[in-house]
Amino acid sequence: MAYVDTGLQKVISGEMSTLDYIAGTAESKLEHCLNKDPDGRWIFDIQVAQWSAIRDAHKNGKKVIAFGGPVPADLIYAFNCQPYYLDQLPLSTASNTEMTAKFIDTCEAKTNQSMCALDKVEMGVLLTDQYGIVPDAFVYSTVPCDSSRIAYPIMQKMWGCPTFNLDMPFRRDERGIAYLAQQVKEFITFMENLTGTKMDWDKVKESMKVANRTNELLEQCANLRKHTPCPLPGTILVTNACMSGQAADPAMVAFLEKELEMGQMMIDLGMGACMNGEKYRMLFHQNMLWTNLKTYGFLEREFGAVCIMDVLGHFHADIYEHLDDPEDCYTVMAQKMTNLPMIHGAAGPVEYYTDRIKYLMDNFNINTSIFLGHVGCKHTWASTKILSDYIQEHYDIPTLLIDVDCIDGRYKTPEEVQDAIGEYLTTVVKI
Amino acid sequence: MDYQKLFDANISKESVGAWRSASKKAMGVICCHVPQEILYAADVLPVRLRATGCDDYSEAEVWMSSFSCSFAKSILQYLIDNVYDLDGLVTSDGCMQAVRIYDNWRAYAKKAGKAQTIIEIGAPRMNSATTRAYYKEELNLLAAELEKLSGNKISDEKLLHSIEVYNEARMLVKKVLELQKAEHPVITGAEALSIMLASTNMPIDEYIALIKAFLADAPSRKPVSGYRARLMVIGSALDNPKYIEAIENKGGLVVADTLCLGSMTFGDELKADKNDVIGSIANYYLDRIVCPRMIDNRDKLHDFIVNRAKEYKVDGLIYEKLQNCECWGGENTYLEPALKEIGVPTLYLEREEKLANIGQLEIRAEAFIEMIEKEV
Repeated sequence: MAYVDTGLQKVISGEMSTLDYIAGTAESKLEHCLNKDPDGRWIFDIQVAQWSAIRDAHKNGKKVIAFGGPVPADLIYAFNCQPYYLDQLPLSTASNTEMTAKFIDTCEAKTNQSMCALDKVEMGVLLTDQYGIVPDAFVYSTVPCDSSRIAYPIMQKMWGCPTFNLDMPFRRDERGIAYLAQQVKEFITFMENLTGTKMDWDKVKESMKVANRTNELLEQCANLRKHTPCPLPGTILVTNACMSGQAADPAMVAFLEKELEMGQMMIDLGMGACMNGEKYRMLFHQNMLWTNLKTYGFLEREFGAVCIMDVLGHFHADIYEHLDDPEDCYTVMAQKMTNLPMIHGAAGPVEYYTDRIKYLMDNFNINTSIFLGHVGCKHTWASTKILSDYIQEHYDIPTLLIDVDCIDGRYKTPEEVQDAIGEYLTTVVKI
Repeated sequence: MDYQKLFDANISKESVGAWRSASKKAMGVICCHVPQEILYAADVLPVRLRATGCDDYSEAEVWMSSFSCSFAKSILQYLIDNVYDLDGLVTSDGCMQAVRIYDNWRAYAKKAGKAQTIIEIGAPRMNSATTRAYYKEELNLLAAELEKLSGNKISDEKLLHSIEVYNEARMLVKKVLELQKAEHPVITGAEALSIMLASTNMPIDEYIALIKAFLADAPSRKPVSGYRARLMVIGSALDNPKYIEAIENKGGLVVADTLCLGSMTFGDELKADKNDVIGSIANYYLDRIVCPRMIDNRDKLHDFIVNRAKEYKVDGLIYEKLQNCECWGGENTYLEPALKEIGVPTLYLEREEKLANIGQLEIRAEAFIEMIEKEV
């Protein structure tokens, strides 16, 4: 008998919230895993921790702070509030085309077809009143993009909750960082007013210590990927996206420790992500193909092609070094905001993007370059020639440009994407 | 004085050529948050970039991809094609497509060995004491760069004079726009847009002289009659009067707009604080409502549009959006109900920079006009 996801049907009919569905599904998967393969539980533990914390926040007496773009999320933990990084919602629903389509279509009826599908899902869920939780505050920044800058003010109005905004400077020079650090201080005042509590520096320190640990671990996990063969599969790069909201979440520490352990074990065993041998070490220049993460496994299996890193997902570790010096910590928070996945490459002058590519090309032994470009991310598409010329000129590697919608599975089938990459590997790169 | 130059929307190299042949600098400007007063104070000619008449942007598309807005691509194409012959650009991060003109032109110019001074100023996308202070410092840096480029010191006196000149232009343009309030205005919408676009073709002093001549002659111009509906146009950057003309050919009369290259080119008077001239400019440009690039001015923008629709007694509103323009992609969510409340229906149109589907535009405009025209 065919499996019917009744929860999914309920979401589509509007009877169930996205939060209940995603958290419930994660819990079911964990339960299933505990029965079948308890060693694999770490993959689901983090999902359960993340989504149940948001779902149960009000029950646990915590305020929920929805946020988009770069925000000093470590402080949200320090105020004993629960952050909800909104992009994690479309990333979680993307593999389910039918559900995602519902929210995208709802949004398009009210706004704009060309908007980024991440924002369309976030707004569509609000328009259908299916978040499953009303945030106590909404915090968002002026980047990553024009699309979010259109969607978030509308969502702010619909939620009607207290809101705080941060303006990202165009240049990330000393003055730009000081500008952001000033806004971090203003955010603290906002949080104090929202929660009715003064900031407790000991709690901030606690939060920063966790963030330091996750940052170190994630960097170590990334460094494992420099190894040939790459010990970790492309799909595990999803971890990067979690860091925007969960860097100060203790659940991330356990998850990353396990990832690091697994990767190290693979290296010790002389094994890699490609079971039939590694040939192509691919750098993807934009985001992940959230609609079909199985594509990564397919490429590893069929072509010996492993995604070493996606440039916009690459996480830059910023460490709080002087925990007793608030001014220094605010500066690090500002730096962290500029270095978050996607923000670091997508906003500001194109050099920030090429610098990131240079670092990855120089250190990760890349031999294949693919701009797997989300169509909603128009300003990164507008830099493709600069980026591909840069790689050609400095590394003598051509770049495949392929358009995808990383959230809306209706745009292109997984087979189309796989064929395009496969043909490119076998006819152009030919290793 | 012959003011016909005001009605020529084509991009002209004439003024730039004359300016540069006098050993002075001319800089392209992108887009609304570059205060031209500062360039004027340095005796640098500001040329607000547009791409009127660009029919083929294929080379720019190689740089910016098919997913970018065609207005941005067309500007890049015109830079590549030497339609503009400038010493460089001053850009601000208006929308993210505008930013990529900056990146791509820098890359192209470098590859082509073309000497260009390219200055990017960070313009905040929200308005607070902190962002104003940051923007003010950005403008100080711009002034310093322009001093270096031109060899001219920018003093407060020069800035105040510059503000005075631009305020005069603002006041005169306001008078032109006022003409459109009449039941039978002496200019069409297409003509009004041409007049606004002309400001990008010449030094501001010449523009002021021409506008004065036009206003002096305005009472003798033949009023427009026989139109079927008063329309207002809002939306993405629109720099082609032929688009408006197509609508007007079908019986509409465009009497108002909130286009960044149209009536919003010049805003209200800039009131300068003599003790903080640059600060006054910074505040003015952050307060000024032009487009939805800011995250905290939506309600004001909507109120502005609704009030303008009332003020100019419009029967219908045309909301045009360039394909892939995100900034103007979401305003309908709250704007449409507000317009409905005052009885103004809206027609949504998507378009490209080139006028490729003018026939379709005419059909849709005609159907809309038929729907809203009032029986006399």
